[in-house]
Amino acid sequence: MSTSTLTAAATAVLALVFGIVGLVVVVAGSASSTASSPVLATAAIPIAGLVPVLDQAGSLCPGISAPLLAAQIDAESGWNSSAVSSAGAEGIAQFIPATFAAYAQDDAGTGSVSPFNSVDAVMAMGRYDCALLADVSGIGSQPVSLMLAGYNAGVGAVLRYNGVPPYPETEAYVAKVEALVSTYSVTLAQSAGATSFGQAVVTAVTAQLGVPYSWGGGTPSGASFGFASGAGTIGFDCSGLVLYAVAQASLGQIGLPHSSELQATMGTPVAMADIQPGDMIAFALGPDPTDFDHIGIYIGNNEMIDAPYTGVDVRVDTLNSYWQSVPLAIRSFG
Amino acid sequence: MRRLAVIALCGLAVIGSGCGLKAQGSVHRAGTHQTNSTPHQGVHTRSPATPSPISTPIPSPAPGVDLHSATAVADAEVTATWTVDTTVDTSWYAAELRATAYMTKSYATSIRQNPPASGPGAMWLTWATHQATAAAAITTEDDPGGPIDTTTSAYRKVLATVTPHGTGGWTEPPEVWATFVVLIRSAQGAPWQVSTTETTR
Repeated sequence: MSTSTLTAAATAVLALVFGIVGLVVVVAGSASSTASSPVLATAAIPIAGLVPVLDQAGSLCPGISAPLLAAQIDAESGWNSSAVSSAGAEGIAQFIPATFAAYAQDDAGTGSVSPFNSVDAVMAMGRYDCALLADVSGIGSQPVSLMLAGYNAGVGAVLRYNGVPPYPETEAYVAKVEALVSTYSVTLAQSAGATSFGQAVVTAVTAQLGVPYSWGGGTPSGASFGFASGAGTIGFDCSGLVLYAVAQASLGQIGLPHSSELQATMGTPVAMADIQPGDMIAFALGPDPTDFDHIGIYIGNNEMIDAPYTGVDVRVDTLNSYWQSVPLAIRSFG
Repeated sequence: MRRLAVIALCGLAVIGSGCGLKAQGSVHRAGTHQTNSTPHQGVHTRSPATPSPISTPIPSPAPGVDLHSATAVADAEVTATWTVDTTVDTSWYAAELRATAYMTKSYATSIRQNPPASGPGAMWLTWATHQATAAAAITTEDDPGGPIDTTTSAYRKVLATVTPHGTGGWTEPPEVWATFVVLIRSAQGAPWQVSTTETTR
C-alpha cells in the first residue's frame, strides 16, 4: 500500500473518529504507519533517523503505535539519548537497567546492547509496552492507560489496584503521555469555509448527551471512570466534558485543565451579547463571584450542554433566569 | 470558597527528616519489574512487583496544619506531593513519600511499597539541569457536582500550580494539576487523613 493510500485511509478513520465534517488533512511532513494505527507525524520527530524505528517498534503488537512511543519518549527524556536521571534511569527511553536487560536486543546491529543506543532503546520500549499490554489485558476498558501506568509504576501496582494506581507521579505520567500523542500524530486542520471550530465543539459535546455524570471523569479522548462517587461510572464531570469537547474540536491541540475555575480564565473572553455556539460558559454558583465552579458548552438558542451532578446525565440546559442570575464567564477558542 | 495558599518550599511534611529526603528518593528498585522470562522468548507473564521496603518512618504532619480540617489536610497533602527540590530529591517519589504524612496507613504503605519503575521524566531532567526547586501554589476548588461530605468522609478537588525556579533566574511556565482527594476519619472530632487521590491534568 502506498503512502498516499495509507494517508487517505487514515484520514477517513480520523474523520470518523472525530465526527467532524468538512475537515481536510494537513500532513506535517510525510506520514508513515499502518492503516490501522495512528499515523506518525514524521516532521515532529526531532531525530529523523528514528522514524523507521518508531514505525517498526509501534507495530510490534496491536494497541501500541509509533505516535504513542514518540509521546513516551518525549515524556521520558525529551529525546535526549544520553539522559541519565539521578534515580538511575538511562537513555532516550529512561529504562531502569534491569528492565532494559530483559527487553533489549541488538536491534542496531552494533554487536552490543545499550540503553544509550536509541535504536536498541526504542525497540526495547516497544517490546516492553507489548508485554505490559498483555499483562493488563482484561483489567479494564482503557488498556493503553493501564500499560502506561505499568511502565511508570510497575505492573504489580496496576494488578493490585486493578487499574491505574493512585500514585500522583504515575497518574501524571499517564495524562502527560496521552496528551502528547496528538503532537506526534498526523494533524488535521480546517479548510477555508469548513465547519467552524465552535461547531466542532458543539458536535463533540452533543455526541455525549446521555452519558452519566461521574466526578473526576472525562479525558481528552472521552468519558472515563471518575473518582469516589464516580469510581464505578464511566462518564464526565462538568470540566471533564468541556476539556473533552475542546480537545476533540482542536484535534488534541488544545489541552484544558480539569478545572472549571481555570477553564473560565482561558481562551478569549466573550460578552454575553456576543456568545456563539461552542463557547464555554462558566458559572459562579457559590458565595465567591470569582470562583467559577460549574461550566458547560453553549450550543445556541439560549441553551448549553453540561454535566450537572451525580445521578444526572449530560444534558441540555436552558439558560433561564437562574443561570443568568449568577456571575458567569464566557470564553472562546475560535 | 476559593482559597489560595502558597506554601514555602519544603515547609511541610518534612519534619525531622530534613528537606528533600534524599535517602528515600534515591531508593530505586531495579527489580520492580521482575520477569519470569525474557520477552523474546514469548512469555510476558511477570510476577507482581516485589518492592524493597522503605525503612524510614512515615513523616509527621507539619506543625500548623489543622488536621481537623479536611480542606487543610487535603491542601497539605497535595502541596507536599508537588513541592520538590531537584538538588536533593532524585524524583517526584521523594515528594510523594513526604506526602504520606497526611495519608491513611494503608495508602501510605502502598506508596512506600511501590516506588516508580521508570525515570522521573523529561521535565524533571530539565529542572534538575537547572538545579530547580518548585513550590506548589494550591487552590481548593468547590465542585457542586461532587460527592457530599459526611461525618467521616470528605471530598476535595485541589489545584496545584507548580512553577520551577532554577539557578540564574531560570524558570518555566507552570505545570497545573488537579487532584481529587478522598479523606476519612474514624469519628467526628478525629483527625482527617487522605485515603486516596486521583491526579489529572
